[in-house]
Amino acid sequence: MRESTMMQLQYGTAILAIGLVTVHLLMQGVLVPYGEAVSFQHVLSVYRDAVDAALLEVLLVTVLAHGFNGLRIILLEWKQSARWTSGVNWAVLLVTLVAISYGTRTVILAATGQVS
Amino acid sequence: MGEELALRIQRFDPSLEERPHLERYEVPLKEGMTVLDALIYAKDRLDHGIGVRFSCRMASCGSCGMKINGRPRLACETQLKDLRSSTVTVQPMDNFPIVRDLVVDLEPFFSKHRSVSPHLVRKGDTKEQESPAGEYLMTPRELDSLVQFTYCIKCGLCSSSCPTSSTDSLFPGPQALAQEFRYLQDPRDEAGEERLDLVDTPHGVWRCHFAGTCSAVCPKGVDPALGIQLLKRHVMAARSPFRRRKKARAGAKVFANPNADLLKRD
Amino acid sequence: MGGPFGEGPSPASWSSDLSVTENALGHVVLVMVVLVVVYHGINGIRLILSEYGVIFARPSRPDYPYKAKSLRTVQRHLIWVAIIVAILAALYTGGTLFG
Repeated sequence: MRESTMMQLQYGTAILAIGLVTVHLLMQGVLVPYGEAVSFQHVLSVYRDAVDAALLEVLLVTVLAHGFNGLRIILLEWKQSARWTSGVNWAVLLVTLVAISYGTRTVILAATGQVS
Repeated sequence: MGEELALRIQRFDPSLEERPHLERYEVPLKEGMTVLDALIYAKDRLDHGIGVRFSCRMASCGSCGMKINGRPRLACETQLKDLRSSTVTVQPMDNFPIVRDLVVDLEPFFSKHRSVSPHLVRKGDTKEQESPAGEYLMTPRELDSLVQFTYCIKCGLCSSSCPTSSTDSLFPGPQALAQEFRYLQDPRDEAGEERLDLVDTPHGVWRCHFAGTCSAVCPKGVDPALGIQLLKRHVMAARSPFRRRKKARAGAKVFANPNADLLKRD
Repeated sequence: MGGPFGEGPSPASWSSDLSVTENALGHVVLVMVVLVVVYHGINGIRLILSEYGVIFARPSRPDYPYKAKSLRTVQRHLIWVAIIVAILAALYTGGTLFG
């Protein structure tokens, strides 16, 4: 995959993340007082709403993709050898997929009311 | 002027020592003295063994690049008065292996420059190349879009100040990337696609994060950071899914010289 | 902890896990996160705008004193905006958490 494609992904997720993280921070600390926002019942009620849960899922995928790709870039700039490069590429891809899967599982469980 | 400058030079002979150390020399100050003047005085009168590169002493050859009071500069055009300090510390440029004292090995720098094919590439033009009928045309506007990047004197100060170059050994460095842009912009060059593919790699143009230190230290106003960001723009435009299908640039035409007869080879 | 593949959090385990972060060190960490994320975001906007050519300088003939054009455009000011807004956001977060 061309590096410019990875960078388009990086910039696309960056712009998306700026919007979503701003909304998320506003909801967690400004529109709803912080203490209440992190309480168990409030968090669950946010996930029960379909639109909010969908936004949180998109936030999850966006931030994880952007973050792990950034980590990949930092690691590749640190050391340069064929083994290191291919090792980093595969390891980061694997960790990204695992993190997204586990996060999505959590969102689905919370949204479908299997947590109480 | 009667004053004396404390000139501290980093000395290091890898074949004799484990690590560098600073040695102090007292150099009498004269009006208009540059750091290079002080170094030549120290080498001539105080310690013949100081290793230092210099040549033109007028910021044209690029030999005397070094770190002066912590900032990469050309020694020949750094006035001691402008440093506003009675102690001047001179060290070799960063990001290059040290040969001795202030002399660094620039071969990695030159080989990265060579790797971007810093010359015009023509395809299928052999007839014109072998018996040229005239010059390749370039409008003044086309020249203006690249002329600043041709002023590079290969001093290495930009690459020595680049934060990416200090850790990523496969990164071409600001000098090579700016030259790649210079040839990409040149209408006479026909290897545009290959040039874009060369820099669109995991260690290519995308590892520049636009710190801008290269442009801040360039002594000739080349502004490599500008060239690199414009290069990124070209890569994105060429790879964009929304790209309009433009007619491929026909390349520079040959200007038929009216004195072609006189230029013919016998 | 409720366990990653266990029965999930209960109100009690949620509060006890959260209380690990609700101390001075946890607040400092959160303030640092906000500082870094806001700076990273605005710097990223600067990078995207510069690299897509929205704020850019045109090449020209250099002249003494050879001050680079790319360092005098709007993008240099965006770095300061990033630093200042990040500090403001961190101060607001610190005020919310500690106040």
